[in-house]
Amino acid sequence: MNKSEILDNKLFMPATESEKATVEVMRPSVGYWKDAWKRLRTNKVAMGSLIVILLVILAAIIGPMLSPYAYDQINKGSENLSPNAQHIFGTDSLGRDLFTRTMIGARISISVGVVAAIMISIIGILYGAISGFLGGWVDIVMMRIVDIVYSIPTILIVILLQVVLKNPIDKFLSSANAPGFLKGLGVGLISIFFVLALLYWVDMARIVRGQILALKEQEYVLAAKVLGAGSKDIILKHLIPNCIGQIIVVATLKIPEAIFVESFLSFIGLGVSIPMASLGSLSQAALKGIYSYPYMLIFPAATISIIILSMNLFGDGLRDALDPRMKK
Amino acid sequence: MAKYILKRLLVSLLTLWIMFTLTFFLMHLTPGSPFLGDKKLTPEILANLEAKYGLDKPILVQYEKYAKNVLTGDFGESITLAGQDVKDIIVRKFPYSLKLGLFSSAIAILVGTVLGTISALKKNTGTDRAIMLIVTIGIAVPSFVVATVSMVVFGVKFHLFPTVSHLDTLSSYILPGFALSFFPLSFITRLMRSSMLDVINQDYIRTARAKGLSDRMVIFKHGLRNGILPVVTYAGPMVAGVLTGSFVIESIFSIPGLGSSFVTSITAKDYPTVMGVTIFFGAVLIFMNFLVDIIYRFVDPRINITK
Repeated sequence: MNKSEILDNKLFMPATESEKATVEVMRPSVGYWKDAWKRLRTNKVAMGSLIVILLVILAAIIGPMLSPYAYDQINKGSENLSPNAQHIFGTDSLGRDLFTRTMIGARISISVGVVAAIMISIIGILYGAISGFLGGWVDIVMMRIVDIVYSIPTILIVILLQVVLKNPIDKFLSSANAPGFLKGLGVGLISIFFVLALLYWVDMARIVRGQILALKEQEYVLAAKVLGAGSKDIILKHLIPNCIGQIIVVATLKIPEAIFVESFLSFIGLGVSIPMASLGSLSQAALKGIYSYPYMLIFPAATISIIILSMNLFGDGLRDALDPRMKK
Repeated sequence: MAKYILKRLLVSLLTLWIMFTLTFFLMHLTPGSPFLGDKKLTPEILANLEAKYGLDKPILVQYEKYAKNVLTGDFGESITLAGQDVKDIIVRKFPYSLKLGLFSSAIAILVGTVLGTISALKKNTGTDRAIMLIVTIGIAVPSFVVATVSMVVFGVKFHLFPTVSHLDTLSSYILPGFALSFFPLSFITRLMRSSMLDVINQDYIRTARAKGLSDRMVIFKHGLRNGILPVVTYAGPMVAGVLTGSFVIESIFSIPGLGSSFVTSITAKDYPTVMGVTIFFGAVLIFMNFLVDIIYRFVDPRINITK
């Protein structure tokens, strides 16, 4: 056998364009966020919920501005009106427009949910990350504290704190150096934020700790250590960004939980201060005239249920999208 | 096992003590006195009243005295309901909350397990979707909304059930029981569904079927007994939810239970009642969690108890 027989140039032909195309990468590599967004987009329930949430947020932000009535404006002579052309949700026993009040209530409820979720996340992430990263006896002690906070009946302490915090916060707000935006929030809301941040971070801390425990054995952490990165940098720049998916999921599901607690507290009369309205306090106020004016209850009750429902469904969808392994 | 129970018991007692201390200091560090409410009292009368309830002594002395009293079952005297012992209030009112709570928990567990199992066995059918739709709503709607809406619809509009309930007839249980059990029922249904879906794909279910067991036997003897385990772990949080849910449900249906008087005593700053009821509720919840932990170790032999 001679060489020319094997490597006869005539046996070869330049590849056509279409043949070349098959060798190229079929599709560009897809990043984590793009991939998650693609999964989320195909989830009809989650996308529907997202649209509902956005609509409610929009209504809560611009609704009160467009309304001809202020939320605390008392309209003499038009008390207890059922829904009509001027007041599409009717009016309450003082003649205040219930549509505006429900929008304001939604604004309060959503901001409570979002702010509480952010505060819970900050505390929970730092606590969990420190506990998981340091390990050893620090971890044991920190997790014992979590266990205890976990097994203390939260709502009882929430109610107590709510009562107890009212006075000191009130005093702080009436002092000269209190920031103006805090005064606008009122005592009830501030103490709700405080209470939620203080007691509802344990889930977040547990999940972040679990993630950090697994992640800190990875090679890139070792590499960062070898390069001389300190614990703070490793936690903040390497570990936390790598469990951001789970953090977002937990934080999203904390929003409806916080809204739930806020409405519960407002309903038993411990929430926002009069004349501010929250969906819980509106429902509670409607209870007095429930036999004659059931419509006063329907609107705030329906709004709060829709908000919590869509947040829950969106959170579930987000979990499936960001972390397919957690899918039930 | 004994070692495990002892350890859990110690943790429970520690939690209870922390809760007790927290409650005590939170209530006592609050500025303002329970006597500053409606009418102006002269300083002398105020001092006498504070002396009567021991509020004039240093806080640590009060703490020690209160702790000793609580250990003997003495929660002190109510301030707003003068002359009544907090213990008597608890003894008189708790049975209402207990009856309603037990009724609601039983409904939630029974209906939730059955619905969850049906949903899992008929996965992706119309039945499954209908059940999941109902329970998804059940998880989102706050109990006070369920209570008020069902009161308006079934009590006021159709006069089917009483709207003011003293829990003396079965029909007076229906509305508050439904309102209180809707959330845990929905939660248990979801738990049960996903756990049953998990279980029916296990090898031992295939083995049971291969042995020629009937569907019913497979579901009841092998499926349910394993599938129900997550529901057992949920029992602790469920009791907590039912107890706190009863705060609003009792007020809405005018049930003379401990939950509604807890809410009124908070707004009235009735220290002894608030503390007594908090500690009592806390003890009930912590004890339930303890019990559930122990039961769980018994029903699931896969868990290594020596750990």
